Amino acid sequence: MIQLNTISRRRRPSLTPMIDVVFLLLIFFMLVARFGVDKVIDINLPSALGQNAQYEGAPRLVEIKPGNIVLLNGSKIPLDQLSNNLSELMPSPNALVILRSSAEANTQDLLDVLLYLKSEKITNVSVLERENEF
Amino acid sequence: MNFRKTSHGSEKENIVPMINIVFLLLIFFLITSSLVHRPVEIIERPFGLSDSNVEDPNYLFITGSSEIMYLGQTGEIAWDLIKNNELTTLTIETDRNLAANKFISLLNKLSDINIPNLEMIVSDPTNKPRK
Repeated sequence: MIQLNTISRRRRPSLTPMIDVVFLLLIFFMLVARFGVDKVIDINLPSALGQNAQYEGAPRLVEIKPGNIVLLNGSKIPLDQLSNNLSELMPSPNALVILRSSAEANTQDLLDVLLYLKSEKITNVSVLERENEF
Repeated sequence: MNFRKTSHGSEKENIVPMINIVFLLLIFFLITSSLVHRPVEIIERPFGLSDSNVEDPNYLFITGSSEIMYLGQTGEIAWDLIKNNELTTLTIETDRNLAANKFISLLNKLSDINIPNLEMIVSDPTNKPRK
């Protein structure tokens, strides 16, 4: 005898796979998210590279060495004494200063010198490129 | 006296509040995070004092081995993208151990593209490890 039992229970869909996916997404976004605002310094290329600069007065060639050491016209001096030594050679506060990086110096050394000169109000800086590195 | 204990062991825990919280966290991270293609090589940011915050991030990554990455592309494709996108601001994130001469060459190359605002990401010097 055939039973025609039409009573059918509604089966609720399982939430477990969805929760698994949501957890995976949550873990992904938690891992890739970076909080906090990045600090930046502006780079003014025309003056930084000396395209508009004119040279006056005594030679002022600063060679950047690693570890906060610089050579001013070939003489080794600590970075914190550079401003005093430069001011004696500068005919005006806006006079051009030429920077050159030694082969061993890295970006941090260059940035240290640039930020130091900026803090000492020496902003007319020309950076020499040794060779086409890129 | 009736000392019959009420047992809760057989009752199922209600997981709905947990799911709600997980969804809220997921929505928070979805909204706040921005996906940026970064190089595989870790970039150690240079230290420097700054009061300016990055506002319109448009990252150019330069690794310590002088590889560049822009919008997930490297090499000449990245340079072409920078040239063709007519950028107003470019945020450079460079490794502090990159040779200074290579960085200067890169700036020279960027100066030919004429991007009005160039900025460089720095780390707070107070985070500098003591020698």
